[in-house]
Amino acid sequence: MTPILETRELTKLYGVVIGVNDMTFDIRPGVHGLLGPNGAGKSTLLKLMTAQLRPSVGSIRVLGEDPWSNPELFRRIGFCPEYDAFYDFMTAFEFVESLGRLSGMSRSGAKQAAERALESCNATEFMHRPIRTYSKGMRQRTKVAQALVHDPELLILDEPLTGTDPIGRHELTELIKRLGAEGRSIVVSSHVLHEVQEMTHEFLLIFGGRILASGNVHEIRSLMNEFPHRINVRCGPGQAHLLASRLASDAAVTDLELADDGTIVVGTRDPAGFYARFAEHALHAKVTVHELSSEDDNLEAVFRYLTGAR
Amino acid sequence: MFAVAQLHLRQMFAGSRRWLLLVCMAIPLPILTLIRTQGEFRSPVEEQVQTSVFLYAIYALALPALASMLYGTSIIGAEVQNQTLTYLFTRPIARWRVLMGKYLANVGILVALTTLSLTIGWAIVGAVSAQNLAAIAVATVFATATYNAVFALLGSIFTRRALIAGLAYLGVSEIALAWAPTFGRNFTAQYHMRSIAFELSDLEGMLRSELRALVSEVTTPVAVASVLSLCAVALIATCWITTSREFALTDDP
Repeated sequence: MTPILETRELTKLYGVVIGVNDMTFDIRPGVHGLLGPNGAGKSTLLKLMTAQLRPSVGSIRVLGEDPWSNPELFRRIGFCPEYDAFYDFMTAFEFVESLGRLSGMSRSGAKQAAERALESCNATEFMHRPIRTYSKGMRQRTKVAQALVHDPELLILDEPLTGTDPIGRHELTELIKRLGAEGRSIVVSSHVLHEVQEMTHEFLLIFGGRILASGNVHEIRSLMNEFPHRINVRCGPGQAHLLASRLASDAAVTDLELADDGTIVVGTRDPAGFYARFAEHALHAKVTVHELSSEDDNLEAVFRYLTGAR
Repeated sequence: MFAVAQLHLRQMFAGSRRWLLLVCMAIPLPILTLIRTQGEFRSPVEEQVQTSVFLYAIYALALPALASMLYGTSIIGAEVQNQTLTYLFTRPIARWRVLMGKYLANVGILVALTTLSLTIGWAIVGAVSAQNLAAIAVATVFATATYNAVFALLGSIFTRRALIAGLAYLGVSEIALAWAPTFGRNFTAQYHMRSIAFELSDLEGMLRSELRALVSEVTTPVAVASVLSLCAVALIATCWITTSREFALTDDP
């Protein structure tokens, strides 16, 4: 099966700044999350995939072809850019229909395809209103619809959930899951782990222009587990030391710290085991737990660990 | 390419741009009305010459240059500034076709509107013969096509400062250089268009010698070939730049 994306020593320089640094990897068909903090190189990689940029060194192939100066390839690719740009004087329907026509469709074919694409993005309700009156969520859905209008086999979505409200996010997530389930390949970028985790379990972690890790969510979680986690526990007044002495006996705990505000900061290499036994500890210590949190659950923590490990 | 042209036409007539275009085309009409009602001419020949020169200056010189600067530079420049270029360049259509579709739409609509305004202006001033009107119209078509090509080129090079580059080009090349009696004027569009308009008109023998020397030292075929060459070179260069260049729509990385 041809990979949807192949890179070999792919490097993109902006003057002396490196956008993408010596990437070599393949992505098989399916839904893939491209994860990394802002400035990691995600958008640069997507721009290289969509021939907006040309590699400085190395090569990139999308659906088995070099994308640069290859407009025919865009019959098979739909791209949703990150920036909030439109022909604002149009309605969503006119916008998507116009771009359908640029994809080589007849007028009537483009009308039907635009209607279909907007319907699949739950945008029919507002599609005949001018885009300039839209909320951020409506604009995001319109952008995804234009990427879908010509029914591409590969969908490239750059931060599609940015700025959407919870309902809009849920709808877009469901749409992307559905498109993936229909057999379409999707590369979706984000800097928020849990956003992408709802859409796919296959990730590519990118940081500083390099691929840090790739694989499914379990592999990435296990990568996380190789490094100590910090878990914050806040309990009732004067109860922290009771719980702390109990937690100290847990095999999963590597170190403990009692902060000035009474919060217990727990270090562990086995967060799953710790969480499984935590309720029992709290019960035995007879303390009221107000908050149990960990900054290490977010993507930034994963990157901090991975980059720190290098 | 037709779909690109249609999209571009919609952009031209969207929002304030529509009014800007209509104002551009309407401005000459009150000026010409003033000439008709207030102008004092010593003879019918002088009236014929002066009103023809006025019409030429407005419709084959000022209007195509200004309208082309506003709309020619925006062919690529506005798409970059609005970050909408991505939508055009991630479609199964060659970049040079996108450019040509937008260019042809620009030239078509500007020629149509300028010719309409010229015809109304001609009806207002009255004294200009049909032959002179046709000569001015031909020069207008050449001017619009050439200036749009040149300004599209400037727009593709100076995407975010295209208007400034366009103004600089107009000032240096089409005003200063084109009117200076030096060899350099051969490289301007204006000089050759003056020659084309004069050769096609019936003003031979009516112009004073100093004005005659300014308008025509080249034959019509040479003038036509020169203007077409400038237009073709500008278009080919724009297509090449558009096809080979990366357009940074955001401040990467």
